[in-house]
Amino acid sequence: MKIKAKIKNSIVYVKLLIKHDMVSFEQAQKKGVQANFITSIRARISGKIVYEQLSSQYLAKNPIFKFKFFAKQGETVEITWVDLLGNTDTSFTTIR
Amino acid sequence: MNKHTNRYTFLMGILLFINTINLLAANLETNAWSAVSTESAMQYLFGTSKATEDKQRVVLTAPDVAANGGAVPVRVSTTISAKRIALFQDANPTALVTVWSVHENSVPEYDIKIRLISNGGPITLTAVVEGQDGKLYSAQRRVQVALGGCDDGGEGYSSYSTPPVRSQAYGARPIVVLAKRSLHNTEEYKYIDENGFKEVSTSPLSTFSVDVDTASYAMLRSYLMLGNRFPPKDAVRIEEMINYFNYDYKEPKDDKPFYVNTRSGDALWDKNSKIIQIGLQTKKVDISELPASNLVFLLDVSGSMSDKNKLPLLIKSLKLLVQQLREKDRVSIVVYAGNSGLVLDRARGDERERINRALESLSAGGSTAGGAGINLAYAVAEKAYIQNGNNRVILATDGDFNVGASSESALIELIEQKKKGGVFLSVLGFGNGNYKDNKMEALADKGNGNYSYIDTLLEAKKVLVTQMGGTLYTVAKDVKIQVEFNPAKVQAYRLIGYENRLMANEDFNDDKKDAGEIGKGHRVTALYEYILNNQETGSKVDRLKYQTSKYESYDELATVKIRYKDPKENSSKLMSKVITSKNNEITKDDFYFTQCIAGFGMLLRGSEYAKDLTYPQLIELSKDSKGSDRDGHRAELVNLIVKAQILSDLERNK
Repeated sequence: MKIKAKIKNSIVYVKLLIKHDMVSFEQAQKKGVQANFITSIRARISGKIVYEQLSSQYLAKNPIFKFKFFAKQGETVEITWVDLLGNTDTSFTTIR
Repeated sequence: MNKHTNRYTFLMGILLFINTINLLAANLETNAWSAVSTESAMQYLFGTSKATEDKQRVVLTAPDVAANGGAVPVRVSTTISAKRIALFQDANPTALVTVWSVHENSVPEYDIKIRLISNGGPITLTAVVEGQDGKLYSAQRRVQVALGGCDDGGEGYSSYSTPPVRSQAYGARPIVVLAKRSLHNTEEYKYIDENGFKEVSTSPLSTFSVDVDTASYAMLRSYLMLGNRFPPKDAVRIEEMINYFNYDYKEPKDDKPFYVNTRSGDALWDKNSKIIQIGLQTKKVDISELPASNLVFLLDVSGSMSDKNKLPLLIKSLKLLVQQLREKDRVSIVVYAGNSGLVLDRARGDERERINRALESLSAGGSTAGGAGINLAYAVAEKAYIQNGNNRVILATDGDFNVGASSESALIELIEQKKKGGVFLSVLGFGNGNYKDNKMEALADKGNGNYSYIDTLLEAKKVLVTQMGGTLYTVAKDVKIQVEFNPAKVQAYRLIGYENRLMANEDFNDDKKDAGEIGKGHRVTALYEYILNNQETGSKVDRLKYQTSKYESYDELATVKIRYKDPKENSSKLMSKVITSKNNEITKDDFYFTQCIAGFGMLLRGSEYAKDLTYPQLIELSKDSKGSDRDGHRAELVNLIVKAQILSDLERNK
């Protein structure tokens, strides 16, 4: 997971990249593998949610997300994703 | 033994019950994700599939043609105060793509890349916003996918070096009606010369005509959200932005047409300045008590009106209005294009079928002979004239009068002459591209009417239904405001907005001089920025020796005088009110929120008087003074300011 979080005038611009194959049910059937894709992403600042997304099998492979929220410089963003098989990953970034 | 079995069954029962509840919730969620059609997915997710299309407030951006179906860039944003935002598509086996929950500090503007599997035809994307009001609002967008959603979607890591704020270059092309046409853009806005500070010692009087128009706000929203760019400076009229919003003003209790609400306090943008707010509020309306209406719709059906946001929207808007009409009302429809013609002659207000049929028969084509159409419309209005009624021609157009004797001055002369005969004119503006904002405002102004810009059906509803009293029924005409400042207290003042409405001081008492109208339920707000007398203002002239006032010891900042005429009278009446620093008929929230709107307008205009005011400050302040915000308009303003900040950050980054 790669995160860039830059602040400009109290708005934080985040670019988030997650390396994930995002195998849809159809692709899984074709290739004989298990379907698996990211189902939820959350970004928190001191425990408070600032971004929350639930998703289906139709996000692109290695998906990129761009979003914005209000925060202060120096605060830490915590981003967590979960996929269909229950794999999960969490990263922290300081807002610059 | 038996006892034990019973207890066991009972416990199992409870467990089963709890599980069923959990399953029900989980099922709704699962069902939404496995639903095949957009409608059924919406039904599972939101409990209803009924959404109001609102392309101004829900902005969905995607390419017309996507070269790679494996990674189609999509942007969803909204100005609506939202709970959740969902994206659907109708080609892949299941419809729901993603759902965002909007939290307190979220900015509702998201960019993602999605996988679309081509089925040959175009794929329809639908963005649905669930507002804090519980209602659904939507926008759609069709994408043609060249290559099926292959596995190799997504951007590689290599391109990750682009700075994140350049989201503009992200590939998603906005649904820009405005930008697409910029090559042939013939929009016209009247130049605005912003009011500066005036010394009270040399010019203690400030005089202007009221204005209840709101068109500028809808227009700048359209620029920021759909056009993804700043509006031209001259399209930003601060008084129209302020008058778009509702305030908790006191209503008149006596038989006066309005109550004068005032308040004075600190200015948000300059610690040395103060603000006086003046708000006129008319009595709120009960439609059944309104006098009978004789409405003649004068509809532009020329070729330029064929766009979806023009004639089709106009027809839908008028159908909304027709629902409000009563038996005693009369409706006629005159159309003009190459020729003008009478489509509907004096239908009764309750003949809805007949009126709707006439509206549905309209189609756009030909050039625009506005002049002939106006003559015919006035002739019809005079034939159907209702004594003591509301006799009005309602002109709906994109403002392109380009055939025949259509010089602006001749047209204005005609409108003024008919007004004296008791037939007023209101103007509804449509579309962008060749929109003549300056001409439309001038016409309505001369015809004792108001001017509204209609960009969506919701806006039509606001203008024609919610504010029908104000749009169509004048309670006072030629309403002029004159403020006299006390030189003992106030050093200098500046009227915010109303640049196109300023009047000479001597015209205030001249009943032959025309001014603006106020309709039932309307309110008019004006702001003055002023500097108290005990401060350095950098004035170029010395303090005047003989201008000492006997009011020196009074707490009187200014006196506001209002002249108005009853709609049927030709001589004016006078009202006046003293403004002190203690006046507070306006709530604190309203007082500061109004300043936020003005400050936003000043920033959009690049005004020097905005001093050090910034978008982030405005966002904070407007959030704080939003109040109860019953109609959600104020939350929308906050979102628009956020959008403006994002755009200005982008510009600075380039």
